[in-house]
Amino acid sequence: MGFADHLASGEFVKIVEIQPPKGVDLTKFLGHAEAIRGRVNAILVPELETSIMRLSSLAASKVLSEKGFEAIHHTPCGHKNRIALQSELLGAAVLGLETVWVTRGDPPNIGDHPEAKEVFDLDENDLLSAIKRLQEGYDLSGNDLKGTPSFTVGASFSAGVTGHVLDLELLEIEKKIRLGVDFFITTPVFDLNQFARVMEKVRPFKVPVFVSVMILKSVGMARYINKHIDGVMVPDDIIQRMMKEPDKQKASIDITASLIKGFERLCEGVCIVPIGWEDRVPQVLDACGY
Amino acid sequence: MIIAEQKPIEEILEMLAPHKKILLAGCGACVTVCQAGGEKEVGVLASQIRVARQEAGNPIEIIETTLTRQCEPEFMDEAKDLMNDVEAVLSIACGIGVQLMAQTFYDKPAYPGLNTSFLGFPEEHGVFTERCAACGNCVLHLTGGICPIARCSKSLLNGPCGGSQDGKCEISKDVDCAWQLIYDRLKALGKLENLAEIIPPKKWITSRDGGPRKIVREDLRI
Repeated sequence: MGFADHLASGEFVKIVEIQPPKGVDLTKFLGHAEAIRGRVNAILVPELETSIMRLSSLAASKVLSEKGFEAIHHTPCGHKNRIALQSELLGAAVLGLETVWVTRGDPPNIGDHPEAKEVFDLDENDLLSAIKRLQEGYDLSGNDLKGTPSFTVGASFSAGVTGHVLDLELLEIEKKIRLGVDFFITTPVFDLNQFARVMEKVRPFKVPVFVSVMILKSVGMARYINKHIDGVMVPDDIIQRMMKEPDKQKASIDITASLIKGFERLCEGVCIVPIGWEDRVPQVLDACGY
Repeated sequence: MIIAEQKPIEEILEMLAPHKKILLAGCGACVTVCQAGGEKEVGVLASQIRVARQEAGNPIEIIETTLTRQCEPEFMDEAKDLMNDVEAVLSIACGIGVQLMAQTFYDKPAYPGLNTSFLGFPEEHGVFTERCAACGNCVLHLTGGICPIARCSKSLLNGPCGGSQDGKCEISKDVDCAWQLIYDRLKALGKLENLAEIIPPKKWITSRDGGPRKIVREDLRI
């Protein structure tokens, strides 16, 4: 059962993000994947997230695929031009990686090679156009392809926005759907009520939405998010719950699980973002009863 | 200086389509020197627009002016009174001038009449070539006073590449190979040993790659 089948099935989809290694030792990476084998629908492999140089999503996704996992290959726009992006997508198709997730990507100056030249030749809508055209049998310059790839295409949207910014985000969502998006993975959400209000406006588009659930490790992390991460807000009640619980790890897993269970009635699935706590994901799944 | 060239007249007419009265503002600095946006070009372009609009049965009134410079806020006052009477401004300064017009006269549209092309100089009459990419990290002392960032099509710091043939670049026979020029100049200066050095990867963070740039000179602040 491929990812497209999961989309069509109507079941609550579980995705887990696993960072590829910085290096070529896949032991931990594969260990994290094995620990959740059969319990989730797909593993999302981020590409150069926050512009930290790591093993490519393409290679790591292929390794997962060979081991029988459903992998979501990530193609951000920041570090490759339109020639390289299209070439990589053709590569993904011949490697059997037919689920791709498109994002805008991060600038190099926030990562571990801040002196690198940034690319951003295409934005994510341009890249979605390119994917659409590749699937129609020609490239962005209108040249014919020998053999046409087929993809299940995901994009992202900012779920933490409100007011007129949400209206702009809805316009973006509509554009992306016109460009062939099959599913969305949101930015991390900690506030069920706020997300419920967002989903009231997004649900009429009838495109599956998978909400990102970040595993909150500490009160300090929550405060850092609230201070530094635009569009993500950890509500006070979650911070209080974390503060009161003597066993912080248990609190972390319980909070994540209760969020996920809450999201079950609001959208079509979740994407668990462990942020270094990949080894706790099985406990989160246990706590959710998955 | 900043080299610019006029946008196609069709594009300018399309921008101005909703308006009946505009200010056409030239700039007395770089674009006057490269003859794209000075007083003379203001007059010619105004006539072109008037004729085209007259022929289309949709006449437009154009007030003409040329500011001393459009890239410094103090000169915006020269346009202040004129802006009161118009619906919009067509600026034929560089992109800096257009943006300063937009920022200063916030409630009226500012349209660009030029495409800002590059930083360079007139190599001969009517021929302008690029010389500086404003990368924020000058290496001209290493490369014989010839910029590989602006003039090598690959911006190589360790050239030349295999695309250098007979002193020309593989992208066009009309483009000099910057690294051939660097070699020739270093040879003339007796500094060919510079080429033995391996220049490390460039720190692009000082270029646009680090995001929009800003310099704060505390010694100049009042």
